Amino acid sequence: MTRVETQDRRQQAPRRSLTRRLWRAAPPGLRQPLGLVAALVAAAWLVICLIGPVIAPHDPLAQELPRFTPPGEIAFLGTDELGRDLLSRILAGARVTIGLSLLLVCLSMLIGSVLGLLAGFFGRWVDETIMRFTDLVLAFPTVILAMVTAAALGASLFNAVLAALVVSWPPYARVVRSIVLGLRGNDFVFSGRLLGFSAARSIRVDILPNTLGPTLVLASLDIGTAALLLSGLSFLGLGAKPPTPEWGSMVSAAVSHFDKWWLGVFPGLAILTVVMSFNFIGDALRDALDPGVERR
Amino acid sequence: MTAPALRIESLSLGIRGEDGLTPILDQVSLDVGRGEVQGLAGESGSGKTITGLTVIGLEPAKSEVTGHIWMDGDDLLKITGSALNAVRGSRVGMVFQDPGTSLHPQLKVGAQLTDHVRYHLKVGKGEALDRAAAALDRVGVGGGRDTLSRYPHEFSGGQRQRIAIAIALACDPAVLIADEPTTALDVTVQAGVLALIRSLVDSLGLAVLFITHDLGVMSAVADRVAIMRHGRIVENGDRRQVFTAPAHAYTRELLASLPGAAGGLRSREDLARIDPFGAGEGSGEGQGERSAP
Amino acid sequence: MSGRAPVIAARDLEVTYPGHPPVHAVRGVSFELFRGEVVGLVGESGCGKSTIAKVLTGLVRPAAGEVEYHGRPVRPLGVGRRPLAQTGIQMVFQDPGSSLNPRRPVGAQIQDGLDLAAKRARRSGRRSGAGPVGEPPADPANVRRVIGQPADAAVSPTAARLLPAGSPGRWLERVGLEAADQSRYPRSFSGGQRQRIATARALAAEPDVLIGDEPISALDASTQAKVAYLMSRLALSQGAVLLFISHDLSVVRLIADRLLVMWAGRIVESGPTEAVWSNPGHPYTKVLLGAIPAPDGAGRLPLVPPSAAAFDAPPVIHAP
Repeated sequence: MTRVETQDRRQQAPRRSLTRRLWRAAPPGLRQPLGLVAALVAAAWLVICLIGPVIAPHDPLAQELPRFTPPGEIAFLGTDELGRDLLSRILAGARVTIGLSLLLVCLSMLIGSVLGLLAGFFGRWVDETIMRFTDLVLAFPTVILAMVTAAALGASLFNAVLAALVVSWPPYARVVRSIVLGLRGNDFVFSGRLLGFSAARSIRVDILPNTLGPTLVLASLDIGTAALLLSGLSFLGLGAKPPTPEWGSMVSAAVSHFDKWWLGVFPGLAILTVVMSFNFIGDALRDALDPGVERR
Repeated sequence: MTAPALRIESLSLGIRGEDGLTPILDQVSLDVGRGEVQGLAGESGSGKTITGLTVIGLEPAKSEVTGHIWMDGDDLLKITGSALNAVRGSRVGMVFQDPGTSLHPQLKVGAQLTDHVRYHLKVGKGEALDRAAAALDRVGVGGGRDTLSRYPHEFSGGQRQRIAIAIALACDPAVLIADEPTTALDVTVQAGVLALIRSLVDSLGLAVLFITHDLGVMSAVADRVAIMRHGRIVENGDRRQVFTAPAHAYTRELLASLPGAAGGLRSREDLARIDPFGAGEGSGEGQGERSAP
Repeated sequence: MSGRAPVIAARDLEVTYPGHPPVHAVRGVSFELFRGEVVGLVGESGCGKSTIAKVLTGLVRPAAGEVEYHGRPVRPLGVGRRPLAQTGIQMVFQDPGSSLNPRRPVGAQIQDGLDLAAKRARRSGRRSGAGPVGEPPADPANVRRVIGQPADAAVSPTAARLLPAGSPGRWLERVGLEAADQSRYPRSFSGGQRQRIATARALAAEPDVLIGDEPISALDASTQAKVAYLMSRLALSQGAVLLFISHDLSVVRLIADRLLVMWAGRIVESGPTEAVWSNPGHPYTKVLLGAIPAPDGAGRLPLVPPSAAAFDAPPVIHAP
């Protein structure tokens, strides 16, 4: 009975077109127009990260165009106070801002997951120690703590990432810990222990793979926040140093030239679209993994 | 001959999905007479629960329903919106499987009973309290007004299910739909709840649609038994006839796999003749759980 | 049974769960299980039967008393690895929804059991597949109920295809699935199929004690007897003792040689299945048996039990 149905499905699958199958494999949230747009925007930015400097019309650091040219024929998005092409700087800056955000999120996820796994799996004093420390970090206002850390370390992009890391791992530790606590009571985890799994194997085989889904959702929601935090630090002069094309510092530089609207608007739009598109993807992922009950 | 209290006529239901319409119920017809327990039995995924939910207008989202559900000349399927609230509770009562979740954990039993009574019958607080106490009395949960001021967690599982039945019957509906009302209970507790339902049917002339996967329970409480499979009723008849002379092959197959049934497993030797690999494992993929939604 | 050493024995077990007030789940339980028998442990929710299962496997530490496995005490499981000598005690859990890891193909999960058996065999210098730890290979006399055929042939009609005995595919065939199913994930199997896979996983570890903690109660009625039968047949063909825990006496009595009836943390009646079933001695056992509704179409309401106070009677022990 059951098996017949399965085989039927296996036979039918190849008959569907590839696009149709991809569409069906996508999380439901991405199949809505808004989710689809977000996914396309995010994908476009990731591509720009890879090839941005190649497709840029000018050298992002070269001061070769007239200063303060408004958007138009000479420069598509205008030029800045040093005569650098804004479009080229935004394209080159994608690699800095998005790349560092991804790095930051990956590192936060790594640190937070490890601490959360240890706390949740071993419990008792391990849990107490790790979670009290987590609470301690969470007790400080995020941006202030990051600012203080970055200022203490000295202004550089690397230090900005370190400072942001200090404040952005705790949510991962909390989420992973609570997932692990739930998983630990599952029969398959007991079964594994009965089959002689060591703690390490139990974590690697039975626990970790089951925490990945929700953690990835958190991470994709966090990419936007990370980009904002890094841009914010750069805006305050605690991150990227000139002439590095970084979106936050570009907005910062624009503040002193209020009348030249394009200087702030375009890098700002870049930050906005990155933050929003990754947020939408995170929402879609969350919906896909945790489908709500639809009832009349 | 009087009309049945509840008549389900050619009820079909499909759920609209990306692959088109997935059929769930196929031409289900059932009559539930006054003072009668109509059993509806089937394995998980057979559609028995959806049948019950559809009667009170709680069919799944994106369902397309055809057919009729007649009560006193009204077609319940034609009633929508807030008018449905009047049907639920005051005309049709419903009892679910798990009394642990069907009662609100933060509200006193009295509040859950009186809110319900006051909403449907538009009576004052005093009269609602009287009715609530009487309803609890009827289901054998003693203590009167003192019981009303306690929370669900202070009661045992069996008592909670009795309270759920009291709530379902507080507004004197003509029809009660009981969906696996004893499945979450121990057998010794189940015995009491089954006896209660039977006595309510006999004393109040209630019409009960009793949904369960447990043919032993069905045999104890039902007057008529319908067997459901893949959304279709394959057999519906008098209890004794269905259990002792089943007409449909599927019913025979079900009974053959049960301990204590006619033609079923009566001794260890009988086990040797069943196929343990479950050619008759009636459920589809991932559908083995009894409590599947 | 006399004259033989029990494979596993519970000695005066007491278990208390912390709380206000503390819950005294098990109040002095002793029993011995012998090679090649199927024992049913029955009782209703909260009687302590699942706690017994957890104590036997070391998942719960008893407040008093101990579990002896081949004469040595079972160490409660901490955060460390389970002692290899105790991995001969395996368990099949209740919930088919969580008894298998949803993110691993079922073949890999069965392989865990096979790896364990191989590891234990290496440690004791034996070849894997020869039988459970510390015991000679399965004694054909113990396979008496496997309807008179060699164990494998009786178990699977497709066994002739001869996969290696210690492969996940072979184990899937033993429980009536196909070798090709090993790359599929648990979600694509029904509840009954998942419990059979969990059984294969536990038995692949070649245990000599298999504990089923309500392994059939979440399954459809028509599937219950089949899974119970399969578990007992496979366990016996390996020469293991099966402790089958259930609230459903009507199925248990079909597969069990002996019954232990629990009520309120104690064993109130024990003895050969037929003796307990046809001649229950303890008031609780009588009520429990009387409350089972028979699917016979007679329309008999089950007996409504008297108050619990009536069950306070000394335990009844039927002679074997």
